[in-house]
Amino acid sequence: MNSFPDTKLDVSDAELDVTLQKACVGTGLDLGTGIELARAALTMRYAGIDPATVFASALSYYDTGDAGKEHDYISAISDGPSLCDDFIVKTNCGSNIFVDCPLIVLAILAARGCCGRMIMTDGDGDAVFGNYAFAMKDGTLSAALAPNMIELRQEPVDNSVANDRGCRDVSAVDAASWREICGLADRCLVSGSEESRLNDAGAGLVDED
Amino acid sequence: MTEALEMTVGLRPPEEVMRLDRLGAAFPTRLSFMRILLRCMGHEGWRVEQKQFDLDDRGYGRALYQVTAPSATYSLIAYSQFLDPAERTDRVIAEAWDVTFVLFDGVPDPEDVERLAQEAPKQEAGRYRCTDLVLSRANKSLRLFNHVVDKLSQGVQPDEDLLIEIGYLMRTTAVYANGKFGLADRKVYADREALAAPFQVEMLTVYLIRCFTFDLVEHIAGQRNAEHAVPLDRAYKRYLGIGNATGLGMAPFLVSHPALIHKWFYARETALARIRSVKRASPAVMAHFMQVLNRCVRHIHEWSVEDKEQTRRIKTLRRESRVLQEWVSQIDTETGRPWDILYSRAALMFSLEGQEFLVSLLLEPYPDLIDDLADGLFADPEPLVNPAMTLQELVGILRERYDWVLAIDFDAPKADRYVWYYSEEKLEPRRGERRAEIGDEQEMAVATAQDIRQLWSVVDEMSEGTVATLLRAWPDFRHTVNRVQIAADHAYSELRDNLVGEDCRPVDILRAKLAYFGASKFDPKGDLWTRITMYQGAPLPEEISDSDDWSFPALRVSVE
Repeated sequence: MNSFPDTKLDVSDAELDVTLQKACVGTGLDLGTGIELARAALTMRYAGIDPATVFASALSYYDTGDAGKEHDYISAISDGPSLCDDFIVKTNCGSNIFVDCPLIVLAILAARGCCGRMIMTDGDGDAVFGNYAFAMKDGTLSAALAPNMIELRQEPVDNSVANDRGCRDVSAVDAASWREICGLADRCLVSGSEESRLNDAGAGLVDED
Repeated sequence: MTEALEMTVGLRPPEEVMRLDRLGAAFPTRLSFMRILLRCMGHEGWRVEQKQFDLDDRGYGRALYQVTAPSATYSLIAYSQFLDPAERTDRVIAEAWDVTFVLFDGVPDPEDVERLAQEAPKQEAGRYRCTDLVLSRANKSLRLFNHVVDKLSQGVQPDEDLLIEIGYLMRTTAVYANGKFGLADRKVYADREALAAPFQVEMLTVYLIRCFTFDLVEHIAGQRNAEHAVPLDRAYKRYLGIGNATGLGMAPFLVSHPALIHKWFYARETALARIRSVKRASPAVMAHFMQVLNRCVRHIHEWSVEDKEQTRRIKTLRRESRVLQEWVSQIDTETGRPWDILYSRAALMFSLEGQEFLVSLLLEPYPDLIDDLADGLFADPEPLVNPAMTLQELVGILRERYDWVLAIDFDAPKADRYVWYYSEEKLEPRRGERRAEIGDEQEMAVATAQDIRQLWSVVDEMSEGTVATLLRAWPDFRHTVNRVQIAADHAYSELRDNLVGEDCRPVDILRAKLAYFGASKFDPKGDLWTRITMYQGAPLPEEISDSDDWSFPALRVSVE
């Protein structure tokens, strides 16, 4: 693995996507959930938020089994995709949902192409999502990062909710958080066996061609 | 042309096309990514220039090539170094190479060149920026490389037999792009029309590496004997390609990108159906086809490998290619739907290798009917789950697209013999015997057939509801449900075999993908990895034009 001496690290979208998928699988989540969370992380990045800090914390919380165990809120990591499913299927979805990290739910909804509004009870948080992006009212971020009661409404959003999907100026992530995610992803790795070493490309071949 | 576009022959169905044994007999076509790139370079008049060549008499140092396209400039920076012969290996776990390369977006300033001089030789252990498009490395084919240097320095050309036997001066062992190790994400350049097709920056890199190998070999020969050294004959340069060793790392890509894979094979099958629908072949087209076929026959005779099974297949192909020459000689301009007749005969009488070889050939004389399909080979991000779909609809897709799963005997002793996983050593996919210490979280999602079977049995027991209902109760099926939903609109999205069973040959998957890249001279080294040659026969930079007629090259003018 690379060493990350800096506090910030320039991580590509592909690295974020693949590593987060693996980190999810490494914590015991299924790949499908990992794919959706990785897509949410990219959406978060395009909104100018460092997804590494958000997901490192949430995955760690999920991994230790704390999420929802001693509290009555649900885990955005494990339940976010299903919450989003319900939002899509039901016309009247979601009031009084107590979730540990509303920002992740918001990003999943946006990444899935959903359209609507999320109201957060504590902190007067308000966010809209649509066009594969989301936007938050000023001061909402802190409310979206902590456990909060949320309400989800289906409603149209205008074209102002859109991010520059081609930008690269938000590609730096918190290095310590990234290390945590990489650590979870590393659980998917298998140390090579003698058999695998014998079968790698180039293995067992001694020639000069 | 308009007449031919009236499709009277359907596409070969996915149950025929997407089987591993047929995929493992694939050949490059006009739609292969190398062909697409060179067509674009020719059409747009790209210019390739050697801008820097600071190499010592042994060929160690730096070189820089600049490619000027109408709307962008790209630079290949090569770092050549001494490599201990003991370290020269194709294996991905290697830590040093003869030459390392970076394709840079634009013109690098001296700081970039210095920065990459530190990073590129480290390859996977280095760190790259979004200006760095591709990372690669290559090793010399010592036997041929040294021979060519020796001969050129003596003022004579190399031995033709050796050129044919090996076919390249250097061999790449990895070509990384799309965000790996901090490299530029594909989105950085995907909206550039010239790079819109898949893997175009990778193909450009390999093409430039080929240019570098010719300059390198001539440079060393010249340094050795400035008075007598001669340049490598143009025909030999044209014949030589770039070698490559590809292992399992590439295989799961075809599983994890179902919508993209559908686009590739759907395009190829559409191309074939268009050609088979042609009502009459003009004399010019007949002549072109015969010319390519005759060249192919010679090409196949120059294709030799050590692998016994592939050798057997090549021998059969040689025989079939001669039969094909006879059949074509019986076709004239009055023959109705000549190519359909030809393909139908081959489908009945030829080996899979012979059939797929013909598919490739049939596409050659019809650029006007085929080349537009290259515009549809890329895909947006894979779609996510549609939770509103009813389970009835889901079962409908399973019945329509996954009946092949029902034919697999999952209770057979070796039906789940293998497991795919990421290796700790180089973070690359690997396949090994299933063993207890490999946990569920470590198994890659490659066992599509098994996953589908489990999903199907669960869905069968749920009488009604939606996918949302299913995933609420069975969240672990989210990925499999997603695949099934993608398959509804993407008939060619699945490799229709048991990919963890004893009979699965990963080298078949590799060949399917490599053929789409444009690779040839497949040289399997067992079931798990293969050598190939890329750009063999491709025009040199100053020869690139719109003509795009360089596939299946041969050095000898006749079959011995």
